[in-house]
Amino acid sequence: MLAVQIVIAILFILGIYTILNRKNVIKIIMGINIMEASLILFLIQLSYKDGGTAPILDKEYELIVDPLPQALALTAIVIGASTTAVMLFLAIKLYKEYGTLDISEIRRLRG
Amino acid sequence: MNEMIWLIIGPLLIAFSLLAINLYLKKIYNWIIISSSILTFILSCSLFRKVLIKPLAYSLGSWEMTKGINLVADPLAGILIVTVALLNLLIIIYSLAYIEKNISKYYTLLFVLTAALNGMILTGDLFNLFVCVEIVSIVSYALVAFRRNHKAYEASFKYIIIGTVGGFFVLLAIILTYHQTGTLNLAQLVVRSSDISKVVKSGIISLFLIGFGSKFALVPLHTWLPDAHPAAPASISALLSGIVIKGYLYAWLRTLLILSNPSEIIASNLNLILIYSGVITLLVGHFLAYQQQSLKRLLAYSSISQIGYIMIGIGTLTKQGMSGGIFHIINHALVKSALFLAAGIFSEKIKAKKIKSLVGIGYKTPLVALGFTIAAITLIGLPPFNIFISKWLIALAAIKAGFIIPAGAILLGSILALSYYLKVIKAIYTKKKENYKIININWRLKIPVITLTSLCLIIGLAPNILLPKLGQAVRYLLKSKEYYQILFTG
Repeated sequence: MLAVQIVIAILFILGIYTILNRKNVIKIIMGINIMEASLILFLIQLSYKDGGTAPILDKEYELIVDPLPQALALTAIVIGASTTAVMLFLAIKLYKEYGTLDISEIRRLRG
Repeated sequence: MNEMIWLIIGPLLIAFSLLAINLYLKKIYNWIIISSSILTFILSCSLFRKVLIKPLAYSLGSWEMTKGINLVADPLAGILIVTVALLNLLIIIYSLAYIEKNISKYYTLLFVLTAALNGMILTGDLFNLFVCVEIVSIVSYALVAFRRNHKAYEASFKYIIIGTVGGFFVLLAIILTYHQTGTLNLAQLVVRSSDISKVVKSGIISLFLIGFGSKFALVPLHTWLPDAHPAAPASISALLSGIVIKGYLYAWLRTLLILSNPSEIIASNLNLILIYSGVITLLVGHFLAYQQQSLKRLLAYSSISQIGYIMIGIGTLTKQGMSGGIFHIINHALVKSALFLAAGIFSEKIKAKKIKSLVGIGYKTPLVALGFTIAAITLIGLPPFNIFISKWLIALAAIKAGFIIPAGAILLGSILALSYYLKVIKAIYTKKKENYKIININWRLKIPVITLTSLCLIIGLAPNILLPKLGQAVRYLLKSKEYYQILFTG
């Protein structure tokens, strides 16, 4: 469990680092996606139980996994996908307008 | 019929049927959008009237209150819902004459925005709050890029990066809350929030503050706003500045007072952070606004500074300060929308975007310029208008709670606002040539500006039509424990 939590923390920090340090628009978008992935992992990790099964209300299934975080994870994935779509659209448009994906270059061109 | 659910489903249904209506029933398109926004307004007013008597709760699909998806409305939510509906109606009237290209996309996005804002205000559990916040954000990114020029794309990209990272912080805080309490239902959270250990709770609260703060432009996180608001069409900047950032502020306030209570906040000195971040926001906003040459950028920075006033009001955590802060939310929504809409008329019809090029505009468009001037005077905080009262309440509450420096900052802020708004007003009424022709402006553009400014005057002259209701709203807000228990145990 601890190993998973460390991985989650590393991914989250890596995402923030990428967003803050990279100049390329596509790489910034990747950083955001890495951050999102770490949060979804965190949600799944919260509800994980060793040997747990789907929450079926029956006597045979006693050790069940909490289904709510998984539903939340699905919703978070959908939101992340739509945000990524908008971001990539903007990246394409920025490339068409400025001819570059470098964010500092884009600022300089605008003056 | 339950108003709460229709306030969310209704605009959503209209938003997507508008695409079909645009194809087959183009002749009645305008009538449909106007009538549906009037209907939303009537619904919200009737909800407000019911809510004043007793807070309402509604469970989707008739599940148990603790299991299903709930909608909750108290007087504060009711007031904000009415503000959203009113601004939506006026901005749709304005847009009929203002927006010429991509009409069907524009109105679809606008109605989705209304639905998501209503959802954000009425929702009864944390995760739906997050979903609605993200819908509002995504629609705002799209609307900022609506002009389709390089400035709009750049502003929208900046907004989307900061907004999305902020959204992730909110999500992280929600996950931690669920981990600690095992519930996302606000009513259960109120009861169980005392189980969370002190360290974790302060972590969660600060994550919420960072997350929502980057969305409502608290100062170190404000950098997207001065680009995003001027790049959007004027009607959209009015909505963004008037109600969208206030919606985020409301969501943050709700989560704050559900996770903890006033005495706990004061004991942990969090109120100092709120008040002084408010002071910094206020001063930075005013000083940067003072340097601006472009009118819409000036208004955007002024919006940031108004967030500071609201934060000071909320930070005092007294009944007076809170009701002042909430009163300021509503007043600023009315005033700033009027200013942005008037600035939109100036920049579209007369091609005046810089403050310098506003010279003589008061003689070309007398009525709109008068509206702009009144709204600017209101925003400075001069007596007969509504902002004066809310600023007065906030300053008094700050002094009573022993915060002298923030009260002084409010005064200093008003003087700074006076200096830069006077610059604009002076430009508007400077005469260069002898004869100016009066430019004919569509009545659809004029009506929202006039309505909003006259509302400012009416509320300013008779604040008692709103203040008692605000007191009621704040009472529920400060004692959220009792309020949610009343709702869910009957």
